[in-house]
Amino acid sequence: MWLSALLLPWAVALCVITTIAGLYFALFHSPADYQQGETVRIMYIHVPAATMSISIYVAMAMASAMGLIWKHPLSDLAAKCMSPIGAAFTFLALVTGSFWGKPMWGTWWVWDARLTSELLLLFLFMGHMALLNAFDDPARGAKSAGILCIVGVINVPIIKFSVDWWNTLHQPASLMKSGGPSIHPDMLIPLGLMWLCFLSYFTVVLFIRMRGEIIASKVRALRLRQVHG
Amino acid sequence: MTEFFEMGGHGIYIWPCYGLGALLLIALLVSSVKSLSKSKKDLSIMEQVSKKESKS
Repeated sequence: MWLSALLLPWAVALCVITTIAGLYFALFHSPADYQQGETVRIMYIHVPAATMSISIYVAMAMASAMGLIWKHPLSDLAAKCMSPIGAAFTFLALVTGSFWGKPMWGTWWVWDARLTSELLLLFLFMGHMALLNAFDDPARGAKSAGILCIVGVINVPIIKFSVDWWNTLHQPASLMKSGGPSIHPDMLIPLGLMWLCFLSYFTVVLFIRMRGEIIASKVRALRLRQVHG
Repeated sequence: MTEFFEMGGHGIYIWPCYGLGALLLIALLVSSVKSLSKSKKDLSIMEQVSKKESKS
């Protein structure tokens, strides 16, 4: 709780500033692409959302592993609070990709390796949320959801390297690759700002949800004491 | 101004992306804040009840 109290105001401030600056650079300042025209502006939502979807999944798997090994209650709680946020970013990445694919590829959807593995990520997030609530005993739910999440990590390198392993429609990486990013700073700045915006948003919402869950568990404990006392 | 919203004819693809992003993230934030304030309210009710019980 002390950590969230310390970090929350900073995360909120960072989120507000990067939202304003990121949107300004993404919509007004950055140039149109020489091949893709104005549709390149979809990238400033699509790429940070996709990055967040994978990062949140990895964070959730680490929290689940800690929950299974050390049984720390906060780690299960963190995993529980992360999955709706991760699902939102995955859904956003998929839909914005679709809206980018239509004008550029001529289709809303193809069963390309990158697209399919990202869709699987959405199902993993949704399965995690469903399993958490599938048992009367929350501890059993957390254990099952944690195992699903850890097994699902196999999908993460598949998403990352799908564009190299299979030569399909989705373009290969232009940021996280050897030799540094291959895009112009005018496009790199809004990308970075929007990524910071999403990262700080994730921190803010995660802290709010975790606080809510901690207080809710206190309420449950008080109710139990009342019934038994 | 209209030129800006048309985005070279691709506005119909670009704006829904920004709109959905805003909608999703705001909805998730609002629902998280609401459930936090509900939990806080529940806790204060429970604490009042247990205080009364300990007095009686």
